[in-house]
Amino acid sequence: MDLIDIARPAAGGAETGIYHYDNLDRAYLARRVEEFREQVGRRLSGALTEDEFKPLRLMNGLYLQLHAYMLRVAIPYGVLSGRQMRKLAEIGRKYDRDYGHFTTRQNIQFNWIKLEQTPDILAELAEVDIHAIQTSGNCIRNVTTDQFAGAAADEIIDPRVYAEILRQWSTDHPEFAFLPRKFKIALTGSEQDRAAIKLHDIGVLTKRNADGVPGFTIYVGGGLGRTPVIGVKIRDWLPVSDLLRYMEAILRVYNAQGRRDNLYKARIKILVRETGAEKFAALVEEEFASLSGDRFNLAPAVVAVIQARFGAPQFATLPEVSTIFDSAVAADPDFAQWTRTNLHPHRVPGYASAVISLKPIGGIPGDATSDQMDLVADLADRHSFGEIRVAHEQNLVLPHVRRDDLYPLWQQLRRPGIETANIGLVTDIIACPGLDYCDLANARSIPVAQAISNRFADLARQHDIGELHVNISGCINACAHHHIGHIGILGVDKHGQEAYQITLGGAADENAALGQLLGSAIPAEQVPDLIEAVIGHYLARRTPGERFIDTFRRVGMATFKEALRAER
Amino acid sequence: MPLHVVTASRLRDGAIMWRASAGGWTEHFPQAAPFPGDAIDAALEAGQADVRTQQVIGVYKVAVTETRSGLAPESVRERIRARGPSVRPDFMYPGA
Ligand code: SF4
Repeated sequence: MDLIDIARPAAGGAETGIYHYDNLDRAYLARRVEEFREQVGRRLSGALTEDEFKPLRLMNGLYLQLHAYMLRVAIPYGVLSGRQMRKLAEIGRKYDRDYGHFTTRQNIQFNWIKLEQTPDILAELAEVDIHAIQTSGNCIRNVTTDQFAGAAADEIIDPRVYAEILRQWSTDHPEFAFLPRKFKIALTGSEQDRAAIKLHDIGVLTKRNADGVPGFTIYVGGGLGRTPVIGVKIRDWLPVSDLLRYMEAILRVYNAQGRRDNLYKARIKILVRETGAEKFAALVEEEFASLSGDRFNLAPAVVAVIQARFGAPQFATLPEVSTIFDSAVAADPDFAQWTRTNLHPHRVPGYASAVISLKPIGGIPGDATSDQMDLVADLADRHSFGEIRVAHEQNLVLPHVRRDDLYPLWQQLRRPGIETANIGLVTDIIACPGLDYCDLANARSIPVAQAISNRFADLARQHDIGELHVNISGCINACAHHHIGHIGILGVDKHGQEAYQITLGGAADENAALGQLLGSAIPAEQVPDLIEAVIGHYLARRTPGERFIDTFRRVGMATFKEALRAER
Repeated sequence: MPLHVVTASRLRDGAIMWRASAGGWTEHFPQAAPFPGDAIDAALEAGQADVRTQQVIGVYKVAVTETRSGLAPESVRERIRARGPSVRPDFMYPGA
């Protein structure tokens, strides 16, 4: 990808929301596709062995999973256009089994891919400026951000712009292509953390300083997996113009000092822990001071060029209140219920962001059929300037919908699979593919998610229980972030059988916390009963207005354990 | 005596393969050949030969037991590989 060139004019075009490629970007992608086509040809002919080829295919997002190859396609910071979504639908239809799986890293995975067709798939994706580069390997992966990026009422800066800058900086960065281990950055454009930033190798939170100037708070060394750690703050406020220089400094320290002798100790979290946060911060500051301010400086003109490449939706001037919306809420209780969970405040009066749930009752979390993807693309074109976001919670977002249009939009969403009014509720379960698809899994995730979803199918009951995040991972790699679920479920192998450990009290927000273990692992069929008992205890103890996590924090783990023991 | 079958993934499309009785590979687990005791070693070696000719990758043995309805893999993982994802009955492998 080309680095920022402020001389280049901003691309125009009707499409807003996504970063517009120019010919240089497209030529680069085309070259990468042809390079991979040639590599696949050499593998199939035997000129390359599997050992030689594996790193090459992984660099292009192609894994070998339980049933077939899996292609992980990057959705940069979760932002898609309707046109791009239609292409993903087409890939699903033409090369896979008519669906795709949206992940917690705001990417999409296709589970039934053929090696021999992958170069053609990548060529088709490149037609709409999408690729699978750096979705694997020990490099800087897709930068993730807030699913309401560019739309949220509380946004201080547009995180897409800085995520794009980080993407350009990190793509094919010659120094950081072979880091000690994979590296994940999350960035959020408001003071509210909607991107779980403290659980990433680097977390970037936007905030204003005492003078009201926007800047970034920097966290490092967060991560889940085998050794879950909450990131530590190493800079309280960094001028926005220094973001790249600071990132470069952190990566240099990590690249030079991160451990390469032990796979389990190679992530930056271990380096930060072993060095000590204060000393690590000092090393970064030292490196930062040594880097040329000019070379990495994000001058306002540079940022403006990137911002312009996204294009700006032409919002209408509307009153804050929509009488059409208010009347529909009053007249239709099902719609009213949907509006309580599936909307998010917009920065422009008269608009809202609408969340499309990919968590139908009893369904597979994050899966969308090609028809559903096409429908969402059409709805985005009709109601949201063609813009779509992918949430790390495995849902989709139409970021800019007129409040007047929300009722007609909802009526069009009333189709199986995407109509559920459950965002943030107990059935909005984050689950990884688990042992049904994943080569690394210990246990299945999806059937457990389905069983819980079916148990709490009653929407009125879900709404009564209120905000509650359930996360299920099929192994310690924690792709579904089980450590930070209010209720976390981890699949383990217990004497050759699938079993599940439950944790309580995890959180991914500004008060990020790791869940605490409730007891020993239990078989799948006991999980819904246990979750029911945990929720029952919460309902019995909650005070007015308390969410599950609030009650948990107030009464503590011991009370939950005690209550569950007494019930048994 | 322990009983095993041999499995791999087909290189060109990643499909799950099982070593068949007459040699060669099948996509259908019910047609997988069982190898008792040490016989598995020669079967694995034969499978490895097909790695060298770009037919398959990742050859390994899978412990199975004999049941009334035929062979069954002992581990959940291999049962899922033999039958298809448990959450998509529409993707169940033929004959599973
Ligand atoms: S958590 Fe484990 S089982 Fe789940 S997708 Fe990640 S690696 Fe696979």
